[in-house]
Amino acid sequence: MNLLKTKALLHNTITKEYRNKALLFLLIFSLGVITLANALVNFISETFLVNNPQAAILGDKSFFVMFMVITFLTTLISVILGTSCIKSDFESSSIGQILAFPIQRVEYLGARIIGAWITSIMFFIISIGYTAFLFSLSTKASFISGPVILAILTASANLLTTITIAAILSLYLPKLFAFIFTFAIRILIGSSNAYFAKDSFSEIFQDMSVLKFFGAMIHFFFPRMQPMEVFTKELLEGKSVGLDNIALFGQYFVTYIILFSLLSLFFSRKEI
Amino acid sequence: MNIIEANGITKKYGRHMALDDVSLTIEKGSVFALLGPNGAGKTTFVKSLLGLVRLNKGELSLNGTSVTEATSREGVGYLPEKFSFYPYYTVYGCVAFFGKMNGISGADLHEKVEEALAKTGVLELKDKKINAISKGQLQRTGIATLLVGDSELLILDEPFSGLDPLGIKELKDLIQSLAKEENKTIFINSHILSEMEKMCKTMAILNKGKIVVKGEIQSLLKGVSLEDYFYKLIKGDA
Repeated sequence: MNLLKTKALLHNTITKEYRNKALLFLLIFSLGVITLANALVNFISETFLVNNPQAAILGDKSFFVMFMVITFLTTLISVILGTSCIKSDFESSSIGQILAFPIQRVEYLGARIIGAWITSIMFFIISIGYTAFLFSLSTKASFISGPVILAILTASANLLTTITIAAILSLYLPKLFAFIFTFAIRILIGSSNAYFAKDSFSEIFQDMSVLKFFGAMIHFFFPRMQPMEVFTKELLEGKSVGLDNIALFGQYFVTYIILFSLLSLFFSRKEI
Repeated sequence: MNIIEANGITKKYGRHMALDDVSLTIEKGSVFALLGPNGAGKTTFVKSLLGLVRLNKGELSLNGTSVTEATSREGVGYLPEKFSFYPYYTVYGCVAFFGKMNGISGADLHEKVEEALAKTGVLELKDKKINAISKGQLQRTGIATLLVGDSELLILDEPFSGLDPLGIKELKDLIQSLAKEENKTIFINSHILSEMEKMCKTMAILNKGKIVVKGEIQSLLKGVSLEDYFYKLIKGDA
C-alpha cells in the first residue's frame, strides 16, 4: 500500500463529500434544531429555575436528548455518504480513471469508506460541540467529559458500519433504494440484537425456527449495532462500564472486517 | 521489447463475444492504432488493459506483468474518451491529483504539474475550474494528467472525439511530439482514420471481437488510403 496515493484518494473523498448538498442541508438543519433547543432550555432555566440546582439536571437531560437527535441525523448523513461515496464515481464516469492508477481496488474502497466516515464524524463533532457550547452557556454546566468523548467514538463505530452497508447496496441498487434498504437492514440488525440480547449462546439455539435462525445469523455475523447504541447511552448516563463490553467490541471488530471483506469481494467482481 | 502482450484473450458479455481469441503485441516506443467499427471490441480491449474487466480466457500483460496485478499499471497513463473530473477541481488541482496518485509529492509535484501544463498549453488556465474550460482544453488537461506521472505508455481512447478541426490538429501535434521527443509508447483507439494513418506506425483492425489484420500501416496499405483499406476490409468481412 502506497500511503501517498491513499492519502491523496482520502483527501479527494473528503473534498468530494463535504460538498454534498444533503450534508450541508442537514448540517444547517441540525444547527438550527440545536439553537432552538438551547433557546428552550435557556427560557426554562431563566424563568423557572433561577438559582436552582435543577438547572444543571435540565442541562444534562437536554444534552442527552440532543446527543440522540444528533446521532440520528448523523446516521442519516452516513447513509447518504455511504450510498454516494462509490456510486458517484460510477455516475461521473471517473471510476475508470481512478482504477486505472496502480492501486488495488481494496485501497480505493478503504479510502472512499474512511473518507465518508471522517466526513460524518466531522458533522457529528461539529453538532455535539455546538450543543455543548450553547448548553454550557445556558446552564453554566460543562458537557464535554471523558464519557462523552468515548460515547462519540462508540456512536461513530455504528456510522462506519452504516456507511459500509450503504456502499455495498449502492453497487447494485439506485441511490434511493440503497438508502431505504440500508435503513431496513439497520432495523433488522437492531431487532435481532434486541431479541437475542438477554439469551445465552445455548438459549439462542433452542426452539429454532427459520425466522429465528435468520435472526441469529444476523446477530452473529453482523456488527452488533443495537448493543453499541445501548453502550453509548450508558456512557452518557454516567453508568459504570463493565468488562463484558470487551466481547462486544471484539465481535464488532471481527464482523466489521467480514462486512468490509464482503464489500471488497463484491467490488472486485464488478466490471467497469 | 514488447510493452503490451495479449495472448488468446477472450471476453464475453453474456452471449456476446466482445473479444474472441485476440493475440497482439506492441513494441516499446511505437505509436499504435487500434481501429474498428462500433462494437468491434476496441473499448473492451482498452478496459482489459487497465484491469477494469475480467477476461474469460487468455493472458494479457503490461511490461511483462499480468493486468490482474495493480503494479502492471505503473507508468501507464489512460485518457478516456470523455475526460472528466470533479467539477470543483481547478486545472492545476486536477493535474496535481494525478501526480500524487503517481507517487509524486512536495516541490517535485509543483514543478512537474507546471511542466505538464506548459507542455500541453494550458498553463494559463491553471486556476480555472475544470467545468469552465472548453472541450479541447479539457482534452489537453487530460493529456497533462498523463504527462505529470511521466507515464511510459499512454493509452488514449478516442482522444479526438468531440473536438473541432482546430482541436484535432493541436492534439495530434501534441501526441506526435510526445512520441518523437519523449519516446513514449502511444496506444490510440480511434475512429478518425485519416489522422491515424499520419500519426501511427503500426495498427490492428478489430471486427466482431477478432483481429482481422495487424502490422505496419504503410506496408499493409500499399498505396491505398487507410479509409479505403478499412472500408474494403470491414465490408468484405461482413
